[in-house]
Amino acid sequence: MIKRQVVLESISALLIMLFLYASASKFLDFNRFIGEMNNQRFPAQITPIVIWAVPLSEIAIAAALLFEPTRMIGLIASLILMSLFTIYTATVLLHIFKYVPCSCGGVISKLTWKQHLVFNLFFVALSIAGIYIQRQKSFKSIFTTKNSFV
Amino acid sequence: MNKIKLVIMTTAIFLSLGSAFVKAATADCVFTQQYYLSGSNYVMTGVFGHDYYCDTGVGACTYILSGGNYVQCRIGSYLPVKLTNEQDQQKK
Repeated sequence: MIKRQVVLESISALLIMLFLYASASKFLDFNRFIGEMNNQRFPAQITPIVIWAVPLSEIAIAAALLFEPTRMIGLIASLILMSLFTIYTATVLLHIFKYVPCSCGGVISKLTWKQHLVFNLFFVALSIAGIYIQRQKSFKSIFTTKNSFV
Repeated sequence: MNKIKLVIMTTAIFLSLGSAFVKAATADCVFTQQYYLSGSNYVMTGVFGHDYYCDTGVGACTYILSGGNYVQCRIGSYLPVKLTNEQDQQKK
């Protein structure tokens, strides 16, 4: 039980590190981030929303992962966001867009698109593992609570 | 368990924020004047994302002038925006 809890804490910590680093890198170099987002093949109307939505959702997910009552929400949101990034990376590799510069910020921007795909898939897998462990933990706690009333 | 959790989470927060600040403080080549190779000449680029893009590729997209030498900065292939817009219109 303790082992699983440590694994869950470690998964959460890795995801928190990823999202906090990514969001901080974006805010610390916001002009560059805006420039890179303007390069993307989004409709022009969506870009201002995406510019704020991506780093703010990353901070929100990191905050949700920090606390036990909101951890499941954080893990699910993390899975959704990382899956979206993975789909986007896959579309780049499939040459659906003619030109797509990276907008990941910091050290991560040095990765190639293929490395990005592996990197994203790793964090998708971590989110899934986190959800699985958290679910098992929740079921166990419900079961023990029920038994304690008997 | 709470102590372990506190240590893991505190380390995660400090590591991620610390590395983001260190990265931001370190001079990145993209902040200096960029050049692209046109034939055998290096030509100054405009604004990234506005005047040109770097298409996915393995070669050098842009260079920076460092100690009298041109050093690779952005990776990919250089693509001026006007050219891509013209290509888009031609397709239409």
